[in-house]
Amino acid sequence: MFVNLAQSPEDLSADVCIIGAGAAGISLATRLAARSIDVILCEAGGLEASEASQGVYRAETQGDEYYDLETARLRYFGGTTNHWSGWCRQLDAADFESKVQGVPTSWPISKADLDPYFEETGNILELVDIKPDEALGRSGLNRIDLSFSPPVRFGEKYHSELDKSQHTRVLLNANLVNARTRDHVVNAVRVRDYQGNERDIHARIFVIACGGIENSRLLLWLNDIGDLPFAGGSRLIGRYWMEHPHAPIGSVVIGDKNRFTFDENALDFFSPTAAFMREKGALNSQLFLKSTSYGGAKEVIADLLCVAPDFGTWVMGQFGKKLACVAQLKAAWEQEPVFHNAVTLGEDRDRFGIPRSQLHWTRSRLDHHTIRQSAMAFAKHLADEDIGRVKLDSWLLDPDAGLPAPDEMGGYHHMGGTRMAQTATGGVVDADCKIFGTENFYVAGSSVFPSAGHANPTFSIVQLSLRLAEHLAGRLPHAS
Amino acid sequence: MAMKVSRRKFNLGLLCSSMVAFVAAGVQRLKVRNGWVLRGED
Repeated sequence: MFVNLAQSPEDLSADVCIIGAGAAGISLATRLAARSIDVILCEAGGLEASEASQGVYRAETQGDEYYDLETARLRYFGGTTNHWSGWCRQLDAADFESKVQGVPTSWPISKADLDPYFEETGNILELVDIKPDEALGRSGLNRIDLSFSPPVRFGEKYHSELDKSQHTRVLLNANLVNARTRDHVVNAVRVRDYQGNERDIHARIFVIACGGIENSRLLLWLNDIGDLPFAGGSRLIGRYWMEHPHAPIGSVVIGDKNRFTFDENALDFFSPTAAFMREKGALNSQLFLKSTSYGGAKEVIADLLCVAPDFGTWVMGQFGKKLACVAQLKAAWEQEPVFHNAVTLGEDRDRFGIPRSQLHWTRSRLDHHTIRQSAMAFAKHLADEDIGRVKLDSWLLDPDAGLPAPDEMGGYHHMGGTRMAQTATGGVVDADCKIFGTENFYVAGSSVFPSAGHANPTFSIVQLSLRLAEHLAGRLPHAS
Repeated sequence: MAMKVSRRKFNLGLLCSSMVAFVAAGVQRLKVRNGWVLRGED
């Protein structure tokens, strides 16, 4: 059932209280309810977007230019899945390991720990026909598949199921403001609506699932007011925040357009192999092609004619036969996890008196190196095989050049901040997503990623939630 | 004959840009000119 906080009973208790009703929180709630575990799912907003709720997301950004954080995410039932694009892919096995010496990309779990949830995640996200990767010649790259979710809007898809469930209560307009703890156990959290009504929620287990920035902000706040007994990891809350930098990186002329797919919703993606990343000292990335307009194509071919007249002339002939094509080469890639990229608490406060987020985000030399290596490998492959030619943007050819500030700066992928680690000295949560130093407080969502691979994060977010559901069910005696 | 063709291309390339660099890649010798990653004989 759904209930507004103001209309809810004074005394609220459940087996599990989940704070946040986006992809992570809803996936977790439905799986726990299916095991007859009583859940209270707190949504800070309502069923529709509102200025009062969305305004809480206003935040300051520092460092490299980044999106406005008030519009980069959504704060109502279903969360940011209310406007996500739908691209999905699981993380590669190499993403869970160390790729470059001294760069902390390894997870305390492996891909094999998430594989049991692959099929169910595909069903939740309504993915069909997930194709395996295949080698792109000897380039060191693979041709990879990203699947396209319709996209699933979690709020719409699961509203009816949650409403009918005997084991789930969805509490709307319930904003976390503090927690009550004793001996490393969280006994209750306090939530408040926009009119000042408050409720305490008692539960055996609490999970925060508010997104890749808000999880950090709220844990920093609870830590600041002394409501959370972190075990030495508090200095890491908010740290190692990551995005997937995005940028157009060049132009591609291909003699036979049937070699690649780049329709609107069916794209070929290219990504480095684990061996390539190790050899080049680079992190993960994805390259893809986007069709160029007819006018733009003519300009690019004219430019190519200047430097490679024979190939350019041949391509002109292919162009006349509608075989050649010109495309923009675009990229999204894994960012180096670094301590100084962080969510911290700012000076300004939201309507609940909690400091607003302050996000510091910069891209590193390794970020530049990573995409340079993949782009060069793709360009070399096309030339080696005489399939086409690639023109790379000048910033990419100069290792000392900075990264550009294109219109598309990132993927709106907010990751890290409460990173998963083996011990409290390396992160905020353990391999089960439990906050170090607490007995019953967990984190769900992309904030637990210690590293980000290149894959769009929603698939992994859902996999982790399903895994967390199984773990929590094991802790609760009456789980079926 | 091959030499003549090659020189003609090279001169055309110089008209377009002064930026010429060579990179080794697999069996092919590739060069980067004006941002384009090209085969040696381009």
